[in-house]
Amino acid sequence: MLRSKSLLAVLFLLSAVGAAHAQSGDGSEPQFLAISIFVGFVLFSLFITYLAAKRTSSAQEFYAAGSGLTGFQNGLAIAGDWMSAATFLGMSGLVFIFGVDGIVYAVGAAISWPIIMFVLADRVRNLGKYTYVDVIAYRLQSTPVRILLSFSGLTIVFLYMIAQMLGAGALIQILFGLPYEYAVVLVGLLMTIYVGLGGMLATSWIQIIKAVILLFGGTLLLILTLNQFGFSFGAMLSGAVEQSPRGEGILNAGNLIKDPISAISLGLAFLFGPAGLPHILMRFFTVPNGRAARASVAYASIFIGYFQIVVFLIGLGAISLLFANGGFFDEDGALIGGANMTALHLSNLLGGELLLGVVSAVTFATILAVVAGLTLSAASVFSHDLYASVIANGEGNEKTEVQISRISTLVVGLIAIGLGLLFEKQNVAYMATLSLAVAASVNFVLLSLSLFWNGLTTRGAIVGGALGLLTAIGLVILSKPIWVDVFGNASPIYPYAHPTLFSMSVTIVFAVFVSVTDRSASAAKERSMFADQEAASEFAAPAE
Amino acid sequence: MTRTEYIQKKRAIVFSLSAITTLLFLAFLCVIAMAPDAASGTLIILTGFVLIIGSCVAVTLYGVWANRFQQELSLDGDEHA
Repeated sequence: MLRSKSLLAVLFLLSAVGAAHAQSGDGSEPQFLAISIFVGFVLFSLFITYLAAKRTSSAQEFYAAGSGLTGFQNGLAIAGDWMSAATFLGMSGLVFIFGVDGIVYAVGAAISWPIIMFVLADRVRNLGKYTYVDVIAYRLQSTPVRILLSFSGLTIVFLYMIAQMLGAGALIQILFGLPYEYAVVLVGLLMTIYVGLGGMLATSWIQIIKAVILLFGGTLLLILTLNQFGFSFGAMLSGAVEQSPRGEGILNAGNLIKDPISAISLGLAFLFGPAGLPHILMRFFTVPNGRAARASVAYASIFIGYFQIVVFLIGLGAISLLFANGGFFDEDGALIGGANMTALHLSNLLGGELLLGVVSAVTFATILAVVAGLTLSAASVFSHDLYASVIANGEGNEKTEVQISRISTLVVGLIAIGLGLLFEKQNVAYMATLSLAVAASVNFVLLSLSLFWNGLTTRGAIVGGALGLLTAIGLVILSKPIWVDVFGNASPIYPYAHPTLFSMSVTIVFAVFVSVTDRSASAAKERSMFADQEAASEFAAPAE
Repeated sequence: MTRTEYIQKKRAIVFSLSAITTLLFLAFLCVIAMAPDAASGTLIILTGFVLIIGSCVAVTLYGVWANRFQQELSLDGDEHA
């Protein structure tokens, strides 16, 4: 009954997409094609959700897809989680505007995977059950640790989600002529259905399919771009210098980051932020063992690295090709729709309406899939970390936990829609920075300390984590994007754009200091349990 | 090799590789931020590509090594879900 109602609601909204298109009156072919491909993807993904729902009844199936994915499948799904619309549209736009400087973000998006592989993948898989919080709570006191990490986890997920919801709303508005509010409700409803009914299995397969079509779509666009330059990288660079209004300046670095503190802070967020993202860490529980977890990261790293290079080259090619064609700029000389439309304008230029339709639909599918992954991780915080482990104290029954998960998914969906509508007019670029900063400063630091340092105690984790979280949030509020741009003050109190260097340091210093000075009996017990935890993290079994 | 030796050796390699990754990336960013004229645009792009490809290669090689190292300890039967 619930499934029928959900599907009816989606069909109603899909028909609204068509109606909005009809009312827009322009009857342009790219919109029609994009809508057709988009509707096709949605119907196919709903079919997958229907099949997955029939196989999802236990908590293990809901949170971890029964741990039945292979390393290759999970690698693709991780890549699907990480390759968001921000990666595709945002980075190609960044390269189009800043030229060579865009390489910083291309490398940054790929550089965290070695850290995840070396430090976390197999250990998290071996120690945890459904979420990364299980790992930190392994030998520490479950209730306070889970409450703190639920707070940081939800902060990260909702900050990340707001940016995705706004991106989705704006993209649908531009591509399909659908009002922003409809677009946000459509995304919220679809992700609630995917996750609520199909759990991790549906979410994983939607990520896998989306990753494959995004990799193919990006590759096709790159081949068409390179073809314009006779497949010569030198010719592409020369063309960019010739056509760009900045001339040689497009090849000069140093416009995005100008001081070492910002460079190191941004670098730490790139290196350690992804390693603390709940929706990425949760994926390690979908494979059967630590070896498959390592294989997942290896495949994900290859797909992501390849995609970063593809998108960078697309942005570089777009400098030459779009500036040579005045039709994509308004009377002020700005790219129509903003820099984020770079890849879409390039698709239109190189492949006409057909390629524009395909790339538009792929981009929207990307947003849907990423939001579904975020929703699942937020729902698991409510149902597994808070309800099952704290409220029911690990004694609730599994059926109730799955029911709570589904209700949580609905609540998360409603919150996401509300946040999407609330922040419609806000510049939320800083939210992505903040979510990576919190992930690096709280989640990654506490995960690493709990895995590799026998001295970490509950008291140290709580004090360090809480202060690191507050520092990250506080410094972002005091920095220019909020203190000046939102609050209207003359100058920022915190002069740098990124807080991670300071917030990570605060977490480490206080977690270590408080742990070292903790003389309680519970601290001694927690330290004594480290050997067992270390053996379990390596061998999935306690010490002999 | 005992389990303790296995853990210690693996931990040393994990720390070394993580430190190298961190230092290389931070050095790359600091050069761009502090001395952007020290390298041409083409060199910066190629260095970026080398870092991306290098990270993929490092991840893959580590995965292969970790599997073999685990086999050395005959742990295949130990690791389970």
